[in-house]
Amino acid sequence: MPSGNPGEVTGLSDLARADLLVGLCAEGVPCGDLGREALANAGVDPSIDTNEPDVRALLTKLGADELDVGIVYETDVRSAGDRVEGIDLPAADNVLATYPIAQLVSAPNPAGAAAFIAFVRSAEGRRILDGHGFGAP
Amino acid sequence: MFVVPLIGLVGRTPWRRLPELVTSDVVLDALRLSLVTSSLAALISLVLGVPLAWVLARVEFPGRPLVRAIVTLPMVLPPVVGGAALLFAFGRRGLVGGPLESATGFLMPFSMWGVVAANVFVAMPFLVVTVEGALAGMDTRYEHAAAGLGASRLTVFRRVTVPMIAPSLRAGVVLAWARALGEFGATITFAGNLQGRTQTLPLAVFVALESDRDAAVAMSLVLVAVSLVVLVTLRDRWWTRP
Repeated sequence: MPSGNPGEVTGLSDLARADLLVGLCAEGVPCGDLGREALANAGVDPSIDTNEPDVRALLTKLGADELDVGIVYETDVRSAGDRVEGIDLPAADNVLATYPIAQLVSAPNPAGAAAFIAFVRSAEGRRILDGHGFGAP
Repeated sequence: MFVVPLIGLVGRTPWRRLPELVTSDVVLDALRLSLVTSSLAALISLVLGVPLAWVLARVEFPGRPLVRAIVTLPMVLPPVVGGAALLFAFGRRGLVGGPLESATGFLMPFSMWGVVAANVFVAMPFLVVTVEGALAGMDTRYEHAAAGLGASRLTVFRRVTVPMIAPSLRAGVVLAWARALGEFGATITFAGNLQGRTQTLPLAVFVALESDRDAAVAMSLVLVAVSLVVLVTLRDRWWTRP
């Protein structure tokens, strides 16, 4: 939601309210599919006003206070700073995006790749990822 | 340069699935909305653009070059910037949009009128520039003669000026309409994207490219066909005859 939560949103069920301006990412876009999955988990039929082409576009409209509520990644809520605020979804409804990390078979610099992977998985890497809202696998 | 992309599009067309693809709800809704909004935009551009072109061509006033530049700005501005500017002006937190919403409850973004506004913003300059050129280039002695014979200013405009610039007037309307039909950036930034309300054909194509490329190609083909039919018909009828 935009900071200040002008639509007084408290949970997923508010996305069914016709009086709110509700935005999602479009179907076929990862954040759109995941958002719809969460809504389906909660049994909510959303009253959508716009299907944005990507998560940045949705976040921009939320940050500009032109939409009341939208579903984006937790990491986006953090990166948008104080222009938007988020609410935690109940664990039963929430959906997670998982990001694999891998070294290419034909990597020109295998040692460097291995070192980078080791760093990402180290305590220091974990701390940085936590700071951006990425949970542990 | 112009033909190869077209051939590429036709080559990618899933001919067997085409009838099914182009008659889907998404395509029909988008086509209807595209035709309605681009026609409204052309009409509004005509009503607002002709007086503006007349003033720019005939009235000397300080700052005219600046006004002229501002009017043509949307032609060079990236449409996304135009959409953002419209949002800052007519959004519910915008300069005009905020007071308008509290006074009337009317909100332009995420409505069909948002699409029309975005279309007018990018399309009207084409009409203004075309008509202004014709007004500046025409021989004003005919108007003086008519006025000298006692015709009122309105009569002169209606009976002398308009007929003389008619080809440019029509060309301007067609150009504005065509530009509005293809509008994408300002629309999606300002009006959003919702099937049946704000999702025009170009938006539907863009969204479908992510999920169903066959559908995207089919819709592109519909857009090309509609544009070609209108442009060929109107151009033959109106542009070749002076």
